[in-house]
Amino acid sequence: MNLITHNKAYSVFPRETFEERRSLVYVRDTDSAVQARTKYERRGWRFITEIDADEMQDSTSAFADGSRHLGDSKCWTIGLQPDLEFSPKFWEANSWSMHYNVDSHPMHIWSLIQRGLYFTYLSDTSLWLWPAHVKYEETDDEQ
Amino acid sequence: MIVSGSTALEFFDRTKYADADLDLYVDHHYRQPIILWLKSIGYTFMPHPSIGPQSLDTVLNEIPRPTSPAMYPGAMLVLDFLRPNSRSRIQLITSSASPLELVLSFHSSERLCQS
Repeated sequence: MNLITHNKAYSVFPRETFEERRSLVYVRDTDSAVQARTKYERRGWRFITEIDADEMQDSTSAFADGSRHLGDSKCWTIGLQPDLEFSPKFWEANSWSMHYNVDSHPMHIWSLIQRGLYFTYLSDTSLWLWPAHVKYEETDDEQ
Repeated sequence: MIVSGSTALEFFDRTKYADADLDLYVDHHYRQPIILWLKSIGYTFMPHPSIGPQSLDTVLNEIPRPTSPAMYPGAMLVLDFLRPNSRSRIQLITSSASPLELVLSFHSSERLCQS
């Protein structure tokens, strides 16, 4: 899971994706999912549908149960040059949490925060984390 | 707007895939400047036969019913753009809320996309 914004590139599961070449599957098999997966298998990725209990609790694993936000220490974040000098954007305010249901099936959980804002943000249910990340991003932009 | 899919994977992995599209994700409300910019640099909208909007006017001016194919749960529109004499395709995926939501809710931790 990788994405590029106007000033940074983020990989959300870097070690798992690029070193271990593992990809965690979130949905039950459908024809279209299987078809799309074949393409990445051809490119060298291995698809797993669950992780073991040790990894679920391993705080160094990006697949572990817990809170995440874009640009957190588990992300591989690369700053892009040149600086386009856009007005500040707050991508790193987006947070979510990774959980596993009773069948060890992984899922991402968030609430949407939209009201009164120009853009919609994802927020982990532990909302108080949110403003701290916004401040962090502003500081970053001033550098 | 964010770039995801094969292009973002290529960027991190320092590889190049022959069959890679450029996948752009944008909040549906803010699709207009992106579409007009793609048009200004020579890309043409290629409607899907019988599914989704059939013209750029419709895309830009009407409030669509979500036509997201099974591959893109939660997408409002999936629009293909091509440039003459080039095989590279740009796919613009518009989200009803956050584009990041679409990326995170994809099939797996490595985003899968339709080629």
